[in-house]
Amino acid sequence: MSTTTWDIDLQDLWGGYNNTKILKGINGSLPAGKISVILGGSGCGKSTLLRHILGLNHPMQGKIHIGGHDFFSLPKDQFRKIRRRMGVLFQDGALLGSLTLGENVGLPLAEHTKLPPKTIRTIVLHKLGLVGLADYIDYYPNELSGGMRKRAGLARAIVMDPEILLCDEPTSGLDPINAAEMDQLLLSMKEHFPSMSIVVVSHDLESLYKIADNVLVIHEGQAAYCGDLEGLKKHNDPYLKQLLGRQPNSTTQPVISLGADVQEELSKWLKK
Amino acid sequence: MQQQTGTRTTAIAALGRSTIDFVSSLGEIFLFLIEGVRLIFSSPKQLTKIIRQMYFIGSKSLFVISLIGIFTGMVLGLQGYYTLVKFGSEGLLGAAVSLTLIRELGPVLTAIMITGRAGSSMAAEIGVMRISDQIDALDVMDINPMAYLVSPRIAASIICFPLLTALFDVIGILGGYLTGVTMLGINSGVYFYRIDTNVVMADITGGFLKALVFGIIVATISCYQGYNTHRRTDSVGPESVSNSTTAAVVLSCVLILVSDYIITSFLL
Ligand SMILES: Nc1ncnc2c1ncn2[C@@H]1O[C@H](COP(=O)(O)OP(=O)(O)OP(=O)(O)O)[C@@H](O)[C@H]1O
Ligand SMILES: [Mg+2]
Repeated sequence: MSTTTWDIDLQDLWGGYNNTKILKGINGSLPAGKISVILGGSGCGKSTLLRHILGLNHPMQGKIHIGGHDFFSLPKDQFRKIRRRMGVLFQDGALLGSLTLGENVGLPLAEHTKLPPKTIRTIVLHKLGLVGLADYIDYYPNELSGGMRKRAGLARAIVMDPEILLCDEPTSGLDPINAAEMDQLLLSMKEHFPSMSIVVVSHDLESLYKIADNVLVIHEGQAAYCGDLEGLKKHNDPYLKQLLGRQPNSTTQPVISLGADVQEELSKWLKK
Repeated sequence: MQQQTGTRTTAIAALGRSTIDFVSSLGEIFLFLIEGVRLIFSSPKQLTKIIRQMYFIGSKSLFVISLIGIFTGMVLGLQGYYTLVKFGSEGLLGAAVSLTLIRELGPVLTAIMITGRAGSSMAAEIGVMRISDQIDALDVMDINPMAYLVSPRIAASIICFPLLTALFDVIGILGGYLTGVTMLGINSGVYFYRIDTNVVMADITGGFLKALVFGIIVATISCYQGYNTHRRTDSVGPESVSNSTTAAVVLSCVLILVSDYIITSFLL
């Protein structure tokens, strides 16, 4: 199988869970060698789209081409071969709770290579160092904060030097300094591995402007925009303007207090 | 009248539906077992995982098994003495205690104890991994989750259940000795002589065969329930993990007793 570039092409992709359709005909491309940011409201299906690209959910209709191959009609061994070249950071990290950070990050190496444990540990220490967690190599995931788990998840995602790196909200839950470092790390990954496709799901506008070469905006199950960052900024679509301008849906003030009688009943209990 | 016929048909339909569901899920569980067993031999790296599971299922169950074993033996000694003395044959106590333990109570009680200790935790652990994307993460790393999670547990159960049953039998026989000989005054030589003359090899192999089958049942059912936590229709999230765990324990215990009856009827 001769895959040299790792472009991801979505062609009229319909998908979701069981009988609920979440993605309703997405077209777009996530080119290799670039950082593509997937943007969209909470619950619009960004994580669902990643699950399809990873081959965890089957499309209901339409196709995903990876490196020119129709991903879901490949024979099983070639499907696995492509998938081995993907690294993923899940939204909640998805580290194995029964293994330490070091064992988690080293797991793909321990399972797929015959490297001696000492070499694996050296590699793991290096990757954990990149995300600032080298001191925590012997901690269990449950002994870490949410942000630390996320960074450890990224270390695991990059341990096999993947060709496609998919990150689900890498900066959410991180403080501004760590978030900036995460952006920096993604940018240097791009520099270091010029053929790598990096796909980042994010709500973080600041990191969007800093890292994105290419943006895919999902709205109501479809691609509201797919193209470069400059084009997005200039676009006239009202939804895109609202999204980038951080405008709420309605301009009227939200009504905070309940109806008078219910509020009074509740207050009685709160003051007890 | 119309109404009544209506409810009757829906009741029958519901019964039929749940029977079909049960039978088709048995088929699925069987395929799950075949795949799990096949993958035991998929790589030499499985050995370390099997040993780790043996430590968890085996070593960590030693204390409970010994405790249950000694009390079961003691109570068998008491009850057996009470019954046998009516026929003036209290000398047969050794044979009564050991045959009951080796043929029946040893395998069954051990299996039910390990279901509570290890089966429930297999279902819960794998269930949590399922709902927190950990199994998907394994899949994406091209680590077969069946090979990584299920096969070592099945292999370890196949090894540990017979061993723990043997321990249970031996400690139970000592428990019977405690009440029968030490407390009620049966001759110690007679106790062991009766065991020696009445227990034949077929009793022991039959007991081990049961333990082996129970081990396979408990590991398969528990892993299957945990592994399919996300497919439950009755609940989602943490509640689905707790329901999987309950289902694993209940279904394992029922199948232990049903298969016990079937195996016994073939062995007799
Ligand atoms: N396992 C599941 N089964 C059924 N529906 C699901 C499942 N997971 C997510 N959904 C539904 O799919 C929709 C999209 O979810 P998804 O997780 O893809 O959103 P998202 O864009 O990643 O949101 P966020 O930014 O909050 O992470 C939601 O409406 C959700 O209810
Ligand atoms: Mg998401």
